[in-house]
Amino acid sequence: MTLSKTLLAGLAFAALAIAPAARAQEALGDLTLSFPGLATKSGNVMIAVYDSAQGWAAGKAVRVAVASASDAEPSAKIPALPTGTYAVRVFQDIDGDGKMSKNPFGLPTEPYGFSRDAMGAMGPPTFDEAAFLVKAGANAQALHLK
Amino acid sequence: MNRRDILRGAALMGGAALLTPEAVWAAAANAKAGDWTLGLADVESDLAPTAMTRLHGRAPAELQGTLFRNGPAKFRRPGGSVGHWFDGDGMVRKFQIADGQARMAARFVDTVKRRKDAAANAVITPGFGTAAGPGAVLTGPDDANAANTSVIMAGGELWALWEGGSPTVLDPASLETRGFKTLRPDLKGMPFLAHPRVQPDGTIWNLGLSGRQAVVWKLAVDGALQKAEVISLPRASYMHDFTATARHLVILLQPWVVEGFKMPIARSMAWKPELGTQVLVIDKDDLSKRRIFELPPFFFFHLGDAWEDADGTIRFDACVDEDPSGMGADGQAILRGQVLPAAPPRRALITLRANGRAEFAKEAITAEFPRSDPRFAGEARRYSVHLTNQKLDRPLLQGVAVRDWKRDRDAVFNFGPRHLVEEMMFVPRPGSSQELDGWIVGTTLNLDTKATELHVFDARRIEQGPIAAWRAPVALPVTFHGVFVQA
Repeated sequence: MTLSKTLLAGLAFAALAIAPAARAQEALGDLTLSFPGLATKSGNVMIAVYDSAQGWAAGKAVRVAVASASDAEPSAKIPALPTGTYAVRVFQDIDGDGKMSKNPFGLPTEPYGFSRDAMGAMGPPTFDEAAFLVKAGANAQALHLK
Repeated sequence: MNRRDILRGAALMGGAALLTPEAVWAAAANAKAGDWTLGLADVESDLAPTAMTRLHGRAPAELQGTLFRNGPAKFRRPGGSVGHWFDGDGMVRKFQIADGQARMAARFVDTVKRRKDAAANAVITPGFGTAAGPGAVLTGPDDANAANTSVIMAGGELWALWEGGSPTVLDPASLETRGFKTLRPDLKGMPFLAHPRVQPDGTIWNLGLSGRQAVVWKLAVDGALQKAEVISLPRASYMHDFTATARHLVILLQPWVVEGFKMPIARSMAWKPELGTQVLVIDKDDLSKRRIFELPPFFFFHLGDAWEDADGTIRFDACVDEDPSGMGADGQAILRGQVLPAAPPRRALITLRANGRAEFAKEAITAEFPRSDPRFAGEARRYSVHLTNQKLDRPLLQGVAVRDWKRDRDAVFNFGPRHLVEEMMFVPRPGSSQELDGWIVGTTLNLDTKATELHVFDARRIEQGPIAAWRAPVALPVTFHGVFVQA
């Protein structure tokens, strides 16, 4: 079925944009992302952070980061985010090719996940479904990869 | 009203006059309620291994083995039910015949779908004919995998099959679910049809569909992956089954085609008879070598094993409908206890000539669930085994037939309207190499005793009735497909 294509379209990790430097006078928050319960403890968790529905839809991340999946408690810290609403999508690059691997019909074969553990009904979640607030100071999100 | 209608009306009135009003009412109520709905009842729990009661006859000492069968067994939940027969939770049944005794067990396949629907206390997972309910989340086809259509043995594992997703691995001893089968990491989640074709040497061929693409699977007898190649198809047909000869894959593209992606799946299909039915024939050794044959439009679920004549002519039997309206609508209606007066599927013989011409010969006999002697799969063969005798007033089939293609004869045993007959399969006599030398083994649901029964026929004397039969302590809903594993 073309379910695979629907899923693929949304899960595609397009080229990641570099975040503009936050202005000094803005309130900033640090975001710690953790990835408990990985089924495969190898490779890297590739992280993309978005600050808008437009960026989410276009695949234009404001920050990217990497967490080592072989760590005892894999996590990554994204420092100095301007306070506001964000959503995160990640995949675990087990084979080390830098891409989310897919089967020939376009379905992901490597684990992936979204902030708030959001999942769409038939495809990826919307920005709003995955969105959370980053406040000044320390913030944490745990993502369970599927 | 024409004269025939008037005569028919008069005949009905005459008959009613002989019956008491109570009898007429009872007959009408029975027809409405449908005693056959027992075949689509919900099962609430697994069945621990239990002995079956021998009804009559004696099982041949040489007949030793296990019949595994699969079919949906849970359709309704308080917050919402499936919209189609094909979307119930798969339950694998196991019937063991040894030393003249029979035992059985049954266990639900522990799928993602079943867990989510149970947690929601409603069928929320979409499927063939079921719409998504509130809170349904699909991250891929395996989230909707009902594992309810068939079973095969592959490398010591029992696989519960569903046509849109991965095989589900079960322990053949305990029927415990182990999880989805990934044949290679990069092929995770690729679909695997519920109708693999198994060569006499044990090599397994299968397809998995995605629109106008198919993956061709080839597995060794030990279940190891030998080939997984994606091919393109001329059109995005609905496909439940395909067939194969020793040298070729024979893929039928019926004019029931996918038009965009929607759930339930049946609602994304369009019937386009003007397209006719195409047959794609592919060389097993070189999937780029392909031929296409054209046939008139028809709808089908099941095909018989194909074979080739010396001159390259390919032949196979098929169970065909005029169009998909019967099963599509019937599969919804029968869950509500209703019968739609759709014409039953009929047997057809399809011939693909070396000169590119194709012939389609439809017969009068009703036919579904075709099987044949597995030692001759893909090779020239003389016999088919299939169910027959479907009536308009009730769903499902009442008899089993052995077709002799050479002598143009059908041997039939009719269980009658008090049994719902399930797919029956041929089991070869150990040590024999002659086609049809062995038994036909299968189950029925007896509506009078409200119990599932296991029957064994002498395959060459099917019209004489079962030579042995056992009764289960329970009535389980009817199944789709199975496999007999000889001890």
